Amino acid sequence: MYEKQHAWETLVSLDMYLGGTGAGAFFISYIMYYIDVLRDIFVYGLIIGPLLTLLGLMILFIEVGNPSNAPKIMSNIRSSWISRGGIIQPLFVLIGILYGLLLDRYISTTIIMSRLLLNLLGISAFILSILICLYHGLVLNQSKSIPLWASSITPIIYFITSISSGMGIVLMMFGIYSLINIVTLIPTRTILLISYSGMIIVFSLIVSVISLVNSSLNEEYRISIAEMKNVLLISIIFLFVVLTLFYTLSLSPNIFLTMFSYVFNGIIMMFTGYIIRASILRNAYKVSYLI
Amino acid sequence: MVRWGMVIDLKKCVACHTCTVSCKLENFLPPKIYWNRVRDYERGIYPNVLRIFLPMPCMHCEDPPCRDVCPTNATIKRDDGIVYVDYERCIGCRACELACPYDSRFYFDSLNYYYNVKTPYEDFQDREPHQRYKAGIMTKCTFCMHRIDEGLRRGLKPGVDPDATPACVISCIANARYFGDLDDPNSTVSRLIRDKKAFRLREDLGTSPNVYYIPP
Repeated sequence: MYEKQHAWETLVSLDMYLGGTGAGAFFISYIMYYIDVLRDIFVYGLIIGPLLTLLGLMILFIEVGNPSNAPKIMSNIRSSWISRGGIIQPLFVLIGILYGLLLDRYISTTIIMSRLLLNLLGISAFILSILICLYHGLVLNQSKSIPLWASSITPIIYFITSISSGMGIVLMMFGIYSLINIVTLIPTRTILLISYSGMIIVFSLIVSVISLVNSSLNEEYRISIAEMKNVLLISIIFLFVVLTLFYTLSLSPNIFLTMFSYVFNGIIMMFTGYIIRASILRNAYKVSYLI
Repeated sequence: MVRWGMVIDLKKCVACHTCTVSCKLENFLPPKIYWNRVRDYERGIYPNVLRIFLPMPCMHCEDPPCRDVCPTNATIKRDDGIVYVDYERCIGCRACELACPYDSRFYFDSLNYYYNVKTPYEDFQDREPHQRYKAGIMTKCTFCMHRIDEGLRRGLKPGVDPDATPACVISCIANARYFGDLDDPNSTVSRLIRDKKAFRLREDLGTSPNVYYIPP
């Protein structure tokens, strides 16, 4: 009656996760760099983000059946989202890493031309990172035969989880940076905003997905979400525990515990992002009764 | 302009799977790969139950979703309506397998043989230019385009002369399959579609397949 898809499994879910997370990390780091007082930390995020996307691309390269044809991947930009991704992802990796590396050295330069070029690089990488956050959901959205993917919630959820996992990376970076350098960094208002709002975003996302079970459009769609339900319920309980733990630990006077709580929070946000994305990828059902 | 299409009479199909086997023979398909299948299932609730045998080749859609998702343009729709995969361009990403509503695409993860070594029969595929398989490519039904092209070159008429007609059509024991030009209003297939109220699968998706079914 209904068939689960077996074409895209763990490796593809990892590729999609890393690609989205890298772009999300760049997105958040770019904004934080301009609005936060601890700006120097976020330069690392501008480099880590594109590196994660590169890792995702490498996993994809291993996963496809015929990697020798990889240069031809850009030949159907007219209609294929994978093809469009084949252009924007390598471009993002190149521009993003270049921007992250140059930013450290040349931000204080007085030559107007080079600052202008630098900002141009930054803005184009920023726009590309938004496109990549959207891209993986749109790839799935193009499969019209799978109702869960073809519905508009999939690109939205993929976009939000990209951003929330990127927030996770930024929080982890904040924690690890201060643990390594043994400095007491007072979390700024924006860091606190990220750490709480990230949790709330993921939480409300899961609740809204679960609430779709009964308001379904058709049978396959309902089955897909019902399958996802258990995993998502477990991650909700997880989130509750972590949120409480985070709140208690972040108030502790011990710098190690405080910073550890940020790292932990980041890891959990990345983990829940992966669970939501992978469960959408794996629990996709097709109709096999055609008449 | 020709547009090749097929009509399958579900009243006549007896689910003998001869089309499946003849397809495998014609195209040298390795184990577990069936370009043509006959699905067998029940619909309805007792006592109003209907058992359906549904032979399913590729539908050769007018607007194929597999072509739209293909990143390398390896899926090509010819002017005569046949959709095929260029094995030299395919990257093996399997996006088309997920986009196809009819499950008509089959992935070769490795080149298997029925016995661990190549039999003389399987060796024959290397001499056939139309089926140069390799590992890690997507394959699909081609409407036996090598037979159609060869037949047209020899001046035969596909759908009438057996040598120029797909293997599943000529091997059908119940004569349940018809092949011909859908753009020609006087062809057998066009007449059957008009007279027998033929339908197509999943018309709600807007793919407009070129394979029609006569209701059971």
